[in-house]
Amino acid sequence: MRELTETQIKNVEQAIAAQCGNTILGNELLDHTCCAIEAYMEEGHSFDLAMSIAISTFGTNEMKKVSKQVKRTRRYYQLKKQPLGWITPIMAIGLLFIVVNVGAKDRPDRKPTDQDFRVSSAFGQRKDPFDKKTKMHLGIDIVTPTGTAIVATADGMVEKVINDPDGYGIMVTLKHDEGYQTVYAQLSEAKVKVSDSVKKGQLIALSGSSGRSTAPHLHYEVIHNGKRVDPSRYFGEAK
Amino acid sequence: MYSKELLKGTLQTIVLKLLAENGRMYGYEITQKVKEQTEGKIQLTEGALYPALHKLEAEGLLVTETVNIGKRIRKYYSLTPKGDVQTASKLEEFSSFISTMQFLLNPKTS
Repeated sequence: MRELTETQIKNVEQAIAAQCGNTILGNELLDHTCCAIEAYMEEGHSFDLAMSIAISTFGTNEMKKVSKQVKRTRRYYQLKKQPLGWITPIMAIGLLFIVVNVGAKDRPDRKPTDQDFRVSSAFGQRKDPFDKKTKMHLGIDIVTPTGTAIVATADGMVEKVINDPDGYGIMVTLKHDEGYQTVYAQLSEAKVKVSDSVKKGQLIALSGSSGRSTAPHLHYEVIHNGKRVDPSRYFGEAK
Repeated sequence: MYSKELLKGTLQTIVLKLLAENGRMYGYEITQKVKEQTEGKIQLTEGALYPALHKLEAEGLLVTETVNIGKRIRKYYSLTPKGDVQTASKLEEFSSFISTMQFLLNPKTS
């Protein structure tokens, strides 16, 4: 029986690598191919021809497929052997889920208007503009000329449309997934009605000064699991 | 050559049986042995053989031995005690299957 030289084996190795890169079958695939080449050479073929026959008989796709399949089998049994082994992939999936969710459309991570604006009153303690007492400001006030288009900051559903002239004025509340709600107040006109579903960026109202307000502005709140949070914290994440 | 579907269910039995008869064998040797013994009627493709070998190994039916044969490395497979038991039961099942099939195909004999 013929035996390949070291140089020839190197050639075979390179040819396999060219076909399917670094394979898990490694030496096994190399030995198999070398055996096949030796057998073809025994039939009287030259090394070059024998090598090309051996590789094309196996087939490029087949080589890749075998490697992949063997890899999958190995991984499966490895995990099966040690029950804790499942934790890594589960954690990886969990992490992926979290990452995907950060970019999800149900978080209010954009500004409530496409117009440039100035924040006239931020979230937190402030002096009430009417009675001058220090109170908690539950949202932010954005200076917007009356009639400015106000858009939903996340996908969701219209929960409330209220007119409260002594307080929030015309107000729209949206309910989103993951415990989020957003409130848009002091509007001049609501463009949606209760239980409409809305897409992020969709027009929902026009701004105004319809309640307890000193000048046209949008009062915007973000509620997470029932708790008011600072809306500006969510602004930078997306437009 | 028989159809892939037909071979799929018998591949493990063939491999186990060959190893039971020959002790340790390597991949290429198995393909050649099958070809020789069946006069070319059954030709195992590498694509079917290697995943099957690795699966049997992972299941604990085969052990491997990696040997330096001079200029390259060869991986030999052989049966574990668990593999011996499995081979016997697989062969028994298969012979019974064949006689059932015969019965099904030639119901008039007997």
